[in-house]
Amino acid sequence: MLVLSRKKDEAIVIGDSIRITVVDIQGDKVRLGIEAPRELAVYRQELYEAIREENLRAARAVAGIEGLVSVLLDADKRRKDNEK
Amino acid sequence: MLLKSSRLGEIEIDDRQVIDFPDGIPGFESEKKFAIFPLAPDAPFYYMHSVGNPDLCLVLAVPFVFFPDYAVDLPPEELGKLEAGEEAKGLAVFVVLTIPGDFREATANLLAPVVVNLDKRRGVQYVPVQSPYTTRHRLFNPQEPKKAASAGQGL
Repeated sequence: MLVLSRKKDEAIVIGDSIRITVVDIQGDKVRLGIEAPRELAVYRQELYEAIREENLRAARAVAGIEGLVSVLLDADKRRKDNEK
Repeated sequence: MLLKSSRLGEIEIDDRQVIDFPDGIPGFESEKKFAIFPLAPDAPFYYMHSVGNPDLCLVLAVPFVFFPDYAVDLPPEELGKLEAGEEAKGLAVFVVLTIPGDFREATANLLAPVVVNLDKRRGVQYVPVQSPYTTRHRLFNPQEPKKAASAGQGL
């Protein structure tokens, strides 16, 4: 990993289309300004990871679907019976 | 088209229900095509089933039914991926459910909605940079089962 020191208002440039500027430093918090082409997604790592984890969990945890489906089909059947 | 599913068997899917996800979705980045179709007639729940992977099946809900104040603000780059205009017309919003053994305990991922342009049949799971929501919001009122349980004790 390349490690660089930057001061407030200094920037790094990646390739010819990405610029990351140190906007502010307060204690252990750094505010970054990111300029990148719109087709490049910029994520906060912990949010992307949380969503990734939840998708994997959702794909595994499908045990309750049968229960949900049967309740829905019952409701649909009841409604149709009432219409008769 | 014929969809192969380890859960549902082989089912015929209307081509209009097959949606391109150019970036995949987080955790399943290589899955680029999903069929989205209802769990049951007139219910606010949908399967989101991978076309290429018979084992990959998620369940979606229409969030506004359960969370009336829910709002999504899509930035221009996401609208671009969806080939949608600035007015964001014709976009459908879903949230991914995590359903444990008891479906009443289901949670909805309001942080990262699945947004689909129905006309262009393109979809994204939007990963916001910041959001007031989390990946786990209880879908059904958590008070109800408790009430039912205490009512049962009186019998």
